[in-house]
Amino acid sequence: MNQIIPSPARAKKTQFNDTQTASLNALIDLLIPASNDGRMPAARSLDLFADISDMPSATRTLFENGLADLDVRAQQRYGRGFTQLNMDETMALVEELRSQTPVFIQSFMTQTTGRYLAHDTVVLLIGLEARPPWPKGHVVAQGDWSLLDVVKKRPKIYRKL
Amino acid sequence: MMTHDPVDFLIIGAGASGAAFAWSMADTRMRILCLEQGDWMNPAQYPTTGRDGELRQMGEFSFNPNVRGRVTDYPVNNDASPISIANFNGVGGSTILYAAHFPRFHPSDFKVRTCDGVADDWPIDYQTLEPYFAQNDRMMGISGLAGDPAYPDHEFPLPPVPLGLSGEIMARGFNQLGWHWWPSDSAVVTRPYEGRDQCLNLGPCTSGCAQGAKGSTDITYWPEAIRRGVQLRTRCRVREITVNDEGMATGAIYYDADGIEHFQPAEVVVLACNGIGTPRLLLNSKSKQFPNGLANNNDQVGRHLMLHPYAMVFGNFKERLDGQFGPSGCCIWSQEFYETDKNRGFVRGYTMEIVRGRGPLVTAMNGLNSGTIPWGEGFHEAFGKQFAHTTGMVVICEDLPEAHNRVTLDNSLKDSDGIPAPQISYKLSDNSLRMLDHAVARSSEVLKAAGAFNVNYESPWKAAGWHNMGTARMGLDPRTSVVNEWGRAHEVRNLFVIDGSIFTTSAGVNPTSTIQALALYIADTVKSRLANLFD
Repeated sequence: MNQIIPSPARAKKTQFNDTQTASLNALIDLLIPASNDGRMPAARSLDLFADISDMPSATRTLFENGLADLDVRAQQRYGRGFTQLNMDETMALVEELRSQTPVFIQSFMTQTTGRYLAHDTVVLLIGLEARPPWPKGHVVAQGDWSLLDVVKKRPKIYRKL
Repeated sequence: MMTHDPVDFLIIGAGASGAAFAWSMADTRMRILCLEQGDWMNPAQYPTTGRDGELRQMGEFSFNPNVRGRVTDYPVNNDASPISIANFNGVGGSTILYAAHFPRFHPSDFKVRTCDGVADDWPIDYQTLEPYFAQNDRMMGISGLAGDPAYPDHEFPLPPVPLGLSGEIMARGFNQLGWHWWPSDSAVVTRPYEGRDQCLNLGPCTSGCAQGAKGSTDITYWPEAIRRGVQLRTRCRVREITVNDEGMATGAIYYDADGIEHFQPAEVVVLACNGIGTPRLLLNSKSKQFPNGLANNNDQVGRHLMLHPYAMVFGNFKERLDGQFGPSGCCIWSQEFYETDKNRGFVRGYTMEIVRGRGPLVTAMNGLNSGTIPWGEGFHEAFGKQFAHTTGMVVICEDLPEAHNRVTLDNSLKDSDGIPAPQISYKLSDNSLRMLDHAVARSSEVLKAAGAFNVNYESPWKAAGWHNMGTARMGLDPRTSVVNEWGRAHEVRNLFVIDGSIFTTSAGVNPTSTIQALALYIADTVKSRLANLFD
């Protein structure tokens, strides 16, 4: 069987590099750690960004630039890299970025929570089935239509011209 | 430039109105062509077919064209507006991503000046459109329940969507206050209908319906129109409508998917690009006869933009609800505050539309952005209280036409073919602001009556610019309107506009039903006047 090998220029990036991954994990720990009772897993433990080949290239670029920006800001303010900061320092930088360039933080929250809440482990824990909605669909109860009886007795409420 | 064989009717835009008009005009067996800048959609690729559907809905299926950024989209400059434009470009237009609410306008909505002394009356009335509302309901497959006291009596082809747990709990709240509610008129087939299978309660209708239960025009009008001889050409982005020395439209210049320029000659040109795309195209069509844009020598094109200010009000409940399932937007609605009561401090009114609930990601993002779900250890507890425990409503307020609210062209922002993008300049009126405040207060009241706690809201809802109306408005006076009472441009006798841009006023309901009824009415009027169409 012939194997299709994409040319280097067109190959999709499948993961962030080690430096980016370390910064990303520090951010992920801030957003979704494990729950206190241990029932819900930490987002980092699910390796949500192990494969980013399905991430739109514009989002990937946004992540790469945003993570690099965090490191630069950490060096400027604290003289250390982003991953060397304590939690308060990290959060202060996130808040700064959130107010000054909110697009990256918004995208980070969307991608992280989106991948976390779609992970099989989490989907089952929040009471859903680990499958796409289509084709099986869902059952929605008809509900109590007798509640409408009182409304049916009302006179017309639209203006007649 | 490649020049094509001429056609009799050239329709630009294959969305709600273009599809209905094309289907109706197919009776004539004339040469009818529709140019659409987008593609045919493949339902097998809609987000609900995958596990990452919610993420895709916030990207390539976003209703915001600036977020979606498909090559088939054009950017919109929203910087001078508190509400961002929402739409979709493709066969089916915005019906691909709409929530499928399908209310008609009311009799009073056509006579606002007569009823309330503001804005203008339409040159047509509810009775004129009534047969076309019914015809369109059959074609789109509308579910609902006859007998709504908020409307003149009319029947539905299909039974209503289910109440579900969310609808039932809110119905109890409305009943406790003695307020009106009714199952929503919905473009969702609740039984197998005309080759379409019934709704499977997939969840968000606003990312496209993989089941084909939602009435989008790519699966309702278009297959039949094409069978009856109408041509539909996709990936054709129209740059301008051309005119001759007499000021009559002669056709359109467009770019294909490869950026190659074409000229399509036509006897009649019909615009169906809705309230932003239509004025954009008219303003981009400058000529010696129309230096300010086609049909715009009276400086009315692009003005009187109406956007329907929305409020979004949600609350948490102790009970686990099923709001992430079902046709999420279509459930029940209330028109208790629809008709004018001047004691409320504003004229006209609004509709409360119950939205069943939100999926996991939408719940999380709403919580994170509103501050009700924190980063860190508190994330899980706050999320757990909200997900599947939240329901609420969106409120659609009637927007009155004001000349300063308008669409113009952006001098620097352009689409991928270099065509200037639309720029929105829009301010909420004092009447709208008072109506929004009233709507938030009443929505909070009914949510609390239903048992909600932690009620929160966004007003105006910035993302909610779905309904784009009034920018080529209909009227009898050529000095203050763009088209006449049957959609023909006052200044160009073979140019018609059939979309939401011709609305004289906006009502306080979703516009698609009325847009399509208008398109069918205009098509019938054109057919009855073919012998003297340009007189």
